[in-house]
Amino acid sequence: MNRLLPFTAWTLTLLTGVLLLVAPLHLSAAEGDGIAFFEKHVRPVLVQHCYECHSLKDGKKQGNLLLDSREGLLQGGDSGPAIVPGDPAASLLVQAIRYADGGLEMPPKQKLPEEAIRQLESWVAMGAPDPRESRGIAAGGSPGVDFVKARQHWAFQPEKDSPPPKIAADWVRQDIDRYVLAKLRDRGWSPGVEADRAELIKRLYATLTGLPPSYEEVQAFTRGERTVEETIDALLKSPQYGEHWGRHWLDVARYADTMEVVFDMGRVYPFAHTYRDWVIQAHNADLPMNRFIELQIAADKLISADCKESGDLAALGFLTVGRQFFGDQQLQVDDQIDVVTRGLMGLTVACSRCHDHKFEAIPTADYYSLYGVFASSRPADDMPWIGYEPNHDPEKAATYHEERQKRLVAIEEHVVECLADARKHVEDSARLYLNYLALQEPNHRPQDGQVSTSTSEIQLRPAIIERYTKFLAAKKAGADSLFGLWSRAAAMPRDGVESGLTDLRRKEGDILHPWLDAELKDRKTPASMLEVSDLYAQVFARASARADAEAVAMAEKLFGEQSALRVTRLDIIDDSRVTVPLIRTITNKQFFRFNGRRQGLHALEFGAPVKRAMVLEPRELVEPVVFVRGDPKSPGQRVSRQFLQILRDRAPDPGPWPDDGRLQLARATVADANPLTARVLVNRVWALHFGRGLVPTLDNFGVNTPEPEHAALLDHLALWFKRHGWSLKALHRYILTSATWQQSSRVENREAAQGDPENVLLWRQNPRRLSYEGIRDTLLSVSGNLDRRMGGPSLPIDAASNQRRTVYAYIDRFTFQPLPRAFGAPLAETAVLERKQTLVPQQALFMMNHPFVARQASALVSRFAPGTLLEQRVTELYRAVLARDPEPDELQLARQFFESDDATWTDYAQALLMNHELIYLR
Amino acid sequence: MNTVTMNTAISKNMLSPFLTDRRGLLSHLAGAGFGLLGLSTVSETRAATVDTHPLAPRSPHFTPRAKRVLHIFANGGPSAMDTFDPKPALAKYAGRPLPTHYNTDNPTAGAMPSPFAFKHYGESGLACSELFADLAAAHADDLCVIRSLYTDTPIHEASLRMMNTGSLVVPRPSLGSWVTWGLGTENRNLPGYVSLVPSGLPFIGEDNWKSSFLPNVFQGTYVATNREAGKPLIDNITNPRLTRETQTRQMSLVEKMNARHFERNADYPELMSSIHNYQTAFRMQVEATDAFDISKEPESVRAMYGDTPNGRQLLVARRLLERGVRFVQAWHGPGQPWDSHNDLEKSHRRLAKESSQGITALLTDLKSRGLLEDTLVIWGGEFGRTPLAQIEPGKAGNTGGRDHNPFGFTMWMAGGGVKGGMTYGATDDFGFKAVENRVHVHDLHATILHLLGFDHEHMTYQHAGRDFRLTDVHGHVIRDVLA
Repeated sequence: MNRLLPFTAWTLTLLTGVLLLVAPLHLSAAEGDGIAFFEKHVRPVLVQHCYECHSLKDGKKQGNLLLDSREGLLQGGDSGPAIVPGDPAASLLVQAIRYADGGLEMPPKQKLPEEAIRQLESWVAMGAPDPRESRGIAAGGSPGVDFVKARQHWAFQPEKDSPPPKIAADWVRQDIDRYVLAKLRDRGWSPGVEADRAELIKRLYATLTGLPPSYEEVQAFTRGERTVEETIDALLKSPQYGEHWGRHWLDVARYADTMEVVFDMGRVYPFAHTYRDWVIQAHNADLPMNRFIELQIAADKLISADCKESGDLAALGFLTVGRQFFGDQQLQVDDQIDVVTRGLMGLTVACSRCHDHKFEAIPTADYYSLYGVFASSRPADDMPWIGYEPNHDPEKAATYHEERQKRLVAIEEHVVECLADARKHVEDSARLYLNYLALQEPNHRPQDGQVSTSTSEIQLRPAIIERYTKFLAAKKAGADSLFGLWSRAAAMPRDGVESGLTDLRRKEGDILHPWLDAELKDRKTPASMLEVSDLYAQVFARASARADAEAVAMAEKLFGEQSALRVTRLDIIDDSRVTVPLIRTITNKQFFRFNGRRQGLHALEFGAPVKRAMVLEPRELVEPVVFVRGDPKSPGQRVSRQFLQILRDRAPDPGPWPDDGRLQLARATVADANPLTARVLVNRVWALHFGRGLVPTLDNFGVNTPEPEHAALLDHLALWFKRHGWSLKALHRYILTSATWQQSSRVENREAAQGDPENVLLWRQNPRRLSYEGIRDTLLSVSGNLDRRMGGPSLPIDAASNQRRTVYAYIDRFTFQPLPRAFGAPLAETAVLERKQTLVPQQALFMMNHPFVARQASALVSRFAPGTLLEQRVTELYRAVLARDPEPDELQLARQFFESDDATWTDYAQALLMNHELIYLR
Repeated sequence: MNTVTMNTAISKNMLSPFLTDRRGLLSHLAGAGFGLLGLSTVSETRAATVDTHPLAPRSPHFTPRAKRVLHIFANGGPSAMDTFDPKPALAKYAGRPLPTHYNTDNPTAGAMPSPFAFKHYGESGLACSELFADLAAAHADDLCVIRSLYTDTPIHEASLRMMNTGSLVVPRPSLGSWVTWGLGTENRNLPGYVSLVPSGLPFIGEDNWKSSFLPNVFQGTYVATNREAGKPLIDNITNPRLTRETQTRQMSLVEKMNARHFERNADYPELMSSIHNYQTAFRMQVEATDAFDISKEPESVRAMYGDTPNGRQLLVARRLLERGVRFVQAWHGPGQPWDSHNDLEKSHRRLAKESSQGITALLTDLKSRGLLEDTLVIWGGEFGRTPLAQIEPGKAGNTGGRDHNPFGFTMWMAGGGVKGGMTYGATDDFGFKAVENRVHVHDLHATILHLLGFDHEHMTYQHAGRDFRLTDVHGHVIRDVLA
């Protein structure tokens, strides 16, 4: 993708950390011409007029800008890169020396001579060939990453496999407890008492299934008829476990049912739910978490070709259910990099998009290494079939399949037509584009500097202009024999083209390309750049006709596979190349038609009898370059597709990766030697069981995150987890059977409460409130309304008929429902590892006034036969809602309430649903 | 002023509206052991000195000139050369190409002079077209017209995002979310940040007022103001079944149950916060309903604003502002009403007629209540419009409309510490591109934050490993517009 000159290759040495090695430049002969131009016309101007304030030699870098190296120019200063190779109009340096913008005027004392300005412009236009080597660190850039130091950071070290503290105490039930008790004893504290049995069983249910236990279950447990272990096993076996823990995972996956599309906002993903259902099933099946993660990054590469209908393909939703950013591929990839690195490894790699991470061991090169991995795939338009919806009608299914096939064919026909048409346009309108380019040449621009893209004949397509511009820049930079004349003419003054060309033909007539020579013989010498471009148009037209073998060869050179002018299939079908009008190679009309047909296919999928997986398909292999300051218009150094440098020696295949590398990335992420993924995972599980992580920043394990107080315990858990086959269920069992987890959350230890109010040392369990989903599901459950059917398309949260678990509710990331918003559910924009819990009046208003709560209250009342004694009814309601019997003073409260004539049982039941005991857990 | 101060807000929150004998509850809570344990003593002391409520009023970096903001969003992009930036030079080129051209979204033809007459108003002689003649006649000397704004793209979606969040594509917290996060709100019985639309949603919907990585509580509360009479504007604000009396009795039972529960769980302070939260919500039912109920305004005031969706909406906005809401955004309508690609003369005339009376009345009203001096009022769209007429390929003539113009456009501010009766910056002779004292949207944001007492470079929030700012790495305060 980088068609400019190869840049100095930068390599960071691991030994000194910051020293930059500079690879020698290998210049081809063609590049040599550009260099000669630089030496003759550019370097002297820079040295004479600019170095004084912008060079290392003179020790000054005003505005953080250095002009004494290629990197300095590309990286630029405070105002951004000084040049955009190939694009003088976009280059700050050119604007500044032109005194153009009314802002930056350089050199400040006096404007350069017009001739010098033109030559600098021509030089930028030819791609800014520049032989100067970097003298170290470009100004304004980052001093680089100190990897030697970064490697010392605790989280980048392998987990320490040290035996648990030797400690003798009856309190200890699991090794976890030894770590906790040792720290408590250091402070002279003893651990908290064991939680009350009734509290404990509620906590177990809430933490494993998100639903409350029944009165009978509490009774059996408190009477000792069922042990903690038996209860845990039963809950882990129940399908509600997968729903609850699957929902936790969907926070990381920024799961939602909608994406943005310019022309019909808030478009719905028809098959996002297949990913959600896969996550739930994977949790219930206790799919090892390393496999679980691997599949979500590269299922398409892990599943053998003969079982391409595997439901595991749905795992790729992890990469595809995010925002689509109106088809902006850079941002889509940014989102994928973030979800994989921050979501799974606690590294904020996405911060390195624009510059080396100031506080992190992540150079920008790492970001673009991963960029190359993800940008080489795109969300597939034709998603694979992974099964039927339950109870589908075979006849309807047949009609659906037939109709879908028809619509696919219609799309394909249109794409083929568009492709042929766009290629024809490129050839047929060559003259207009060449004319346009001629007027873009700095010496030949109209006086006001603007060239219209609307001609009397046709509206030029900006995307095709860009291709012609790139095409010409490449030809110029390559000193192509056909385009030598163009470059020479472009360098001539506006009114000196005719004389200049006459002169040129006289002196060096034999250097002209034979086709040009032939054209020139039949006409008078062109008098302007515009006429020069007409000459080229003749050449293009002759090639287009393909009348003989020579013309066919020329057409191949100008328009063929290798040419920048070639319009490809991706140009027609890829969102990143069609959604915005300015980048379309096809006409607006063609796009609308294409989009219409695509939406037709999309529309058919709603209510389809099948399930499809939101998979990726290969795009073209992207050879990544760093985008200086995140701007794709400023390509910088070339990088390889490979794993993060700080973790590279811990990856089974450190790269560079010959293919797109997604599979290798998946493997590296869950490699046993990767010190981050398991730590981040067990820490989050811990946080979900304790209300606080051992590392409190769940999504940031970077160099600024101090080693946690319980670092040894964290390592122990991570290693334990890996040794137990990355089994999440085993990990739950291990943690929940510990004495630490089973402590009471009550403040019994006043000294600890004073000395460690944040409970870092775990001297008690932390109390907590149910999540948004937990509250809604609990209300449905205690009222007896909960519909336990699993899976399938998402349902509107507000529909009265929707009595299923909240994980199945439709999530529109653009029109966020007031209810989840009020209760702090994540916005589904980026990976969320930890929810922020807020307390706002909207939550109370929901409980007080929303018909949903009233419906649960009245359902609750109707569960019991009317006409019985007040005490008996109150007891029934207490058992249903709080799973216990009312105490005498609570009966008394009820009696008082019913003293009023208009007091109803529904109102009473609703009040009981607002009892804190239901949603606040000890 | 009518706003509730910090202290009274807290003390009000401590009292239960459910109990006739408030002392009863307090002594009940005291009897429950409040303050007996180490932890709760700590938290109680802290509660008495520091208000930790996320919406609690907070002080900015320095003394602010504005305490609250009303952003009147003329969504779709109003034309500068037809409103506040006269360009007589266009007449010379009518129907012909201009000497300068910038590419926009759609094909354009020759220059289109404004069909509207301009006049000078007030002591300042501020220029304004007939579209906003009423506004200029009454408030020319209050308006600070910025003629040199520019943004980065001619695309609605991206420009809306830029104007509201400072970011073209990536979701970021909105201006209103930043402001509410920074300042809290003066009245916790109302949302701190409210987005008013007569009905439906503007382009990109709720992304316009999202809190993104700031806590949810700072997100704009969307209110459709043109709902049928009697339908409440805030979700769940009224109970469909219960009378005030029965609900009071029910909530009194809830409070007793929860007080009893707290008695047994006094080491869990959030349980007390939640009791207070129910009390706040209960009061909000009255206060929020009241705030949105413009039938409580005198007939003369309602007539001044006009009985139109925009007039009524701005009256709601004033009621919210005077009750201590920090940031109100009032959108002209759903979609992109000001997007006059066709027959601009007709559509701009209609749009101005729909909004001018209400805006004029609002400024008059705020002024007479002494609220204008510390209320910042902002008017404008996401970009402006081209001086060229738009054409539709394949159709004869032009559309009589103008295309999107991100290169130069106009907005105005009033009140809240800005200089009135001035214009700042200038576009070229045709209103195509801002050329003098150019103001990027980031600069506007920096200036708004400055007026509210914030140094935009130091108003940062840490998220995903780095500090974020509304203005990212950009923005300069426009000093010349500060009063």
